[in-house]
Amino acid sequence: MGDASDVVARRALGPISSPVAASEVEAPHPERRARNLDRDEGLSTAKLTVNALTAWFDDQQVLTDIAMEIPAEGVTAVIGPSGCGKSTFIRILNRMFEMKRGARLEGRITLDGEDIYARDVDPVQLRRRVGMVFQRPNPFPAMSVRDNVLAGLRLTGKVRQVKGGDGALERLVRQSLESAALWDDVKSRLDAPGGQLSSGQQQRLCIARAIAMEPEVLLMDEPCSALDPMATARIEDLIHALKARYTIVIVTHNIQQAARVSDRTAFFLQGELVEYGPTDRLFTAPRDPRTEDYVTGKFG
Amino acid sequence: MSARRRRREAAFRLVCWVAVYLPLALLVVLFGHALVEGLPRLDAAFLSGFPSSSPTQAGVLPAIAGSLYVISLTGLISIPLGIGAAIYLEEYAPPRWSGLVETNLAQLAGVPSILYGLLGLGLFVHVLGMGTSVVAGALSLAMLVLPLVILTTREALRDVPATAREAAMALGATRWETVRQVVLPVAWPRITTGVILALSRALGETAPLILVGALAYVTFLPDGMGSPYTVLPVQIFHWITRAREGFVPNAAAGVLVLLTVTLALNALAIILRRRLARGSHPNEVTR
Repeated sequence: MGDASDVVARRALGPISSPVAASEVEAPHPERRARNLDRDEGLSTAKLTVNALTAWFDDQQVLTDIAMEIPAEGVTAVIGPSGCGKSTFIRILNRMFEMKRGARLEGRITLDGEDIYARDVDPVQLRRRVGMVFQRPNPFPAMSVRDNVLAGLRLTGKVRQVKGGDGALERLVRQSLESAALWDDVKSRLDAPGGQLSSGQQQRLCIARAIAMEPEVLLMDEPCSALDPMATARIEDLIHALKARYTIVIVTHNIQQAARVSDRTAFFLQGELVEYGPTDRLFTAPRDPRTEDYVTGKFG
Repeated sequence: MSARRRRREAAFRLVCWVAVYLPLALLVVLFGHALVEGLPRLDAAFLSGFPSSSPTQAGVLPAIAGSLYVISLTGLISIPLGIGAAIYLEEYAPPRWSGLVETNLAQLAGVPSILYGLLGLGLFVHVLGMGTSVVAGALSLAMLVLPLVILTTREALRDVPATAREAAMALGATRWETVRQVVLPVAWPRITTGVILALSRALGETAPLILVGALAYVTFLPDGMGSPYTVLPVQIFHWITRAREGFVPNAAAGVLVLLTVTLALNALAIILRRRLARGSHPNEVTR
């Protein structure tokens, strides 16, 4: 970063003192806020912090020196033109990034103050805390709607640890589907294959599947790009409903969508974080001319 | 269309037609020949009989039993090894390494089968002292089919959409949980087909088994893994070498038996694939 533009994103100053404090403190400590975040912009405690993050695929650098704090509350949108590194960025947050060939990174990323790339961190455990919804709805097509919701528990063997047997599982299925605003659509066909739902329903099924694992953070990688406007509107309503319970990070190439759903927006361009701030401010008074050009539609 | 272009089109069509029907005709002739020669000899006594110096009394039962025994053992050895190796190469190994291994596997799959016989003779029969036993034969054939099993399994795994793996991994599943519960169920029909086709190829192999000591004259059924044995192709081969004594009809009848067993295996592959594929995955390409 480090250029003259007045951006919120800048090198964060190391990890937050204690992981417990970071997740439980409701009102941000004044000092911490002053240290880590821009007081004027009213952001609160960071759930995720990214520090000096640079990433490559083989020799190609895809992200350059990203520093960013993502508060626990509300929705953070990541916008930018194709190829700007925004998808790579959120895949780094749940360590799906490293599954791609030639992927490597430097920098420090913390969740509740803990370094998620530390040697003793199991990416599998991390992904249970940081759920993800993908660009194309990808329910397991042969599994029933019910099994799709429970897929995370079944895959990881946690289904046996659920107390209360089938009744408890049914309640979990219902709660997850209700949270994903899908219950009324599918309650009469929980045994139908997930692949038979419409694509909008499939995407909400994927959200139900993710939240059945009770994650703390929900990453969404362009969740509406394969959906029609009606289905998109339902997902956006859902994001509003879910943001009270989860830290949500959404990648979108749709500027209007970022404006509608998010509280904060980060603008990426060619692997750099150009500007990061409250969505209202970023869209009405961008501080970087490149941001202005992008949000006013001069390119992208 | 000009006359010239039309003539070219017609000529090309003729070439394609010949390419299809000439081999088919050859097959029909071969099969018809075996049918004419062998059918009179193919009766219950032939199927349940033991070898004999008299062509009309010689039967094929030890060879059928030997073939089934050897091929079952071959499957038991090569299926878990092959599928395991394929899973490792496709899901775990670093791509550069698995690419290198795959290139070599493709070479191995094309190695003449007699070389596997030589290796089996040296390694299993002599060095490991297994002698001319069922298990030595099965191990040699297992080496022969292993590359095929690995390659077809890898292809089946590779066809499973990456999005399915991502979905499972993003839910916090480990590699193995993903492979076992998401990838394998989708890939299973094609793996089964590939394995059965590989085994049916092994069923027809003659050269390596002659080398590792399948006998020509076996008057008993194999009674264990250390037992001497013969198999159908070897039996057929020996009968053909004794054409002057009137064993040609026996050979032809043996060919019919071998063809039937092979076709039955292939039919099983198709049925299994259909059954397993049903409702398993809409993205599954039926081949």
